[in-house]
Amino acid sequence: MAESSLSLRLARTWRSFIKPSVCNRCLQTRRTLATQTTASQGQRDADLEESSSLAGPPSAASRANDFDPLRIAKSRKRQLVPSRYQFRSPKYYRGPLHPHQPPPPSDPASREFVPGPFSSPRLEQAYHNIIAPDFMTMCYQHTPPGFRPSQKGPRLRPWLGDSPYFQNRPLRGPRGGDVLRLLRKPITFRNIPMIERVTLHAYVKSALTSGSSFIHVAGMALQAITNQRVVIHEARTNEASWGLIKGKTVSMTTDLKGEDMYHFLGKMINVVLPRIKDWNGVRATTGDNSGNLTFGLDPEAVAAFPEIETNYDAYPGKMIPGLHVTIHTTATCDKDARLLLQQIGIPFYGKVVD
Amino acid sequence: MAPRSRGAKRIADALGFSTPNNHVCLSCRQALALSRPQRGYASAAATAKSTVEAPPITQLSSAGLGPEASPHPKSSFTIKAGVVLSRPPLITPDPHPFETAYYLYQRRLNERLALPFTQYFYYKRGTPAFEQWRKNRQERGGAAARDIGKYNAYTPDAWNDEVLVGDETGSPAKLVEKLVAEENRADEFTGNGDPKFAGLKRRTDADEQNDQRSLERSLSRTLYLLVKHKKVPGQSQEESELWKFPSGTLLGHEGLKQAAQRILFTSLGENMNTFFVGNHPVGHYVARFASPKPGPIPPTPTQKSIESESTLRKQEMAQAPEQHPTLVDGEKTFFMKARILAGQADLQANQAKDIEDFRWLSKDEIEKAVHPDYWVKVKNMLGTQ
Repeated sequence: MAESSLSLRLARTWRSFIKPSVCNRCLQTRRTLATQTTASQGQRDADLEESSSLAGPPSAASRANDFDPLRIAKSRKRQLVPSRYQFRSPKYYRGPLHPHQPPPPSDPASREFVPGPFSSPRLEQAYHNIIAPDFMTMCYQHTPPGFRPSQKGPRLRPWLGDSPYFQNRPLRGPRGGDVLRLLRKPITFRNIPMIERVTLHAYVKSALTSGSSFIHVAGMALQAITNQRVVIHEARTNEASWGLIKGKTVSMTTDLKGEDMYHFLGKMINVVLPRIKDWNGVRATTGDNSGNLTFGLDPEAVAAFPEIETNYDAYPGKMIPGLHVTIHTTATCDKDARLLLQQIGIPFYGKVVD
Repeated sequence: MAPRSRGAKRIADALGFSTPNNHVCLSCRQALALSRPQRGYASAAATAKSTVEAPPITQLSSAGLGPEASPHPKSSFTIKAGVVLSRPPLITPDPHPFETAYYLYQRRLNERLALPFTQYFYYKRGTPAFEQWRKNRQERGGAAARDIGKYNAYTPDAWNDEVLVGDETGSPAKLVEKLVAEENRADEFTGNGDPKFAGLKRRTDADEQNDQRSLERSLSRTLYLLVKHKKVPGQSQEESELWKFPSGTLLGHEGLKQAAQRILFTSLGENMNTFFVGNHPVGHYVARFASPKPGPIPPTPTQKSIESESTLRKQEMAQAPEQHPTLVDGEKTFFMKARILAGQADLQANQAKDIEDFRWLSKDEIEKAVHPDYWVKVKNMLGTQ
């Protein structure tokens, strides 16, 4: 075996000595230094390119100007089959081991893709640049080095006593009521309160007596001013004094977050609230003790939103609803939430309850 | 702490071997002293005699601070109050080109996915408004939205939703221009017509002239008030040319905020409507002199201040008779944050006649104007935008 391979290699070497490595045809077309000198100067070789390859590609700007994806697509003789360029996300998620995985929701090819954001709202930028730093400065509490806050007892107290029923019993609630309030931690740069979401709620009383048209108009109005579909709610119980009938549609809500929320607040604070006549502001007693404040807008104020005002005639008269606006903040007490809303421009009046 | 050890501590303090905790400021020491009973030597000795007594309620850790903390710091400083008076940004900053392109792309994607615009809800058929709307829509290539450029999501070419490099379709300035042109109000908004719309420009005349005294400049940035002091005979040339935030020495027992307000009024006039954010300083700057200098003259205590003096303060004054030493090693400036709502600084109203010039500068410009050491100390209290 080894001998035969050695002889083969020898034979190949001998052949290469006898035959040159370049074939005859190539040899004829090949030009050497000598042939170049003998060639006449005036005669141009037809195969030679006029421009040098060393000059580099055309500039990026000119290429960008010439680039036209529509023209390129139309100049194609044959279209690609759609399966070559269209990705279809699987309709059902079949588990992490399935070979066909859906793309993440942020991918435009995903079935769950929701476009956005479309802008960076002015109020959001003001919050990050002006309001949050000022809030931190205002709420700063100085403690000297070595300060140790006084120790408080546990909020949920153990059951002390000899009674055998105290064994393994759930802890007792706080003194003075069984509501465990949120703790207010010192404000640092990590926990500056911000607006989390805004809930709009419209109770359409007329829908109980005068048919569903009030619900439709209220839904259109809310959708116009919030850029969101509304969620319809039915009455859960019968309440004769309010005319409530169980199962009948009476109200609608919208939850706003992010960009929509900031745009809604911006419009409300800068356009709508200043135009309400004889309005003192939001009552300072509002709040649920955990940093969520609610106030109401009457139908006239809702009609002053620019989206409704531009085609006020399209809405049937007396059908634009009033609104309850609940602003959910990450503040853990109403005092902080009120300070934040005052900073963004919502006035408060009346007795302050903390 | 037993009286014996307290005496030892006093001696150590006097000799300059005090613990590193003596940087606690006077008001903090007062606050701490308030939270625990002030006890004289006699009562302490009595305590030592009585064997069992509850430990004093203290808010301090066992490392120990309180009245026994040194009243004689190693080096003495003049306390000054400074004002960081700022004008917040009035307009949003110019978006980054990537931001612009991203928002335009998202809007076009939305146009492809959203339900078509309900035009008959907003424009009645056959009205002039409807005809105008239809004409404008045709000019946009059939798109209902006015902020996505010439793009129709309902054509076979709708896949071509990305703009090329250098395209101006999505830029806010271009969008506003198009909107104004569509409403036929170009004459008003460009400022050629009615001058009252000139304020809608993002760059003002002060920007063009780089008028750093003006508050109308750099509308998208926070501007801070800086002053340049006149040259003092003993001062070096370099030192006198430096820009600083307005500051001054505390008078009597006034607080930092009071002092800051007074300094602002006396140095740059009362023609400024300002709002002091909080009662706490946002930063401080320590300047050490090369050699100890005579400190400011201690103000003579007025009748009012004597009345307001608490007994505690009297005790402390008695313990530390040299509250205002003649020589100081340096000065500490504590900066109070303030916002200007209206008005302007006025050099004519400068009572001490020690300010040569003032400027309203953004953060980038402050870095160039002030001394590098000063910049290192103040830069973190200034906002980025």
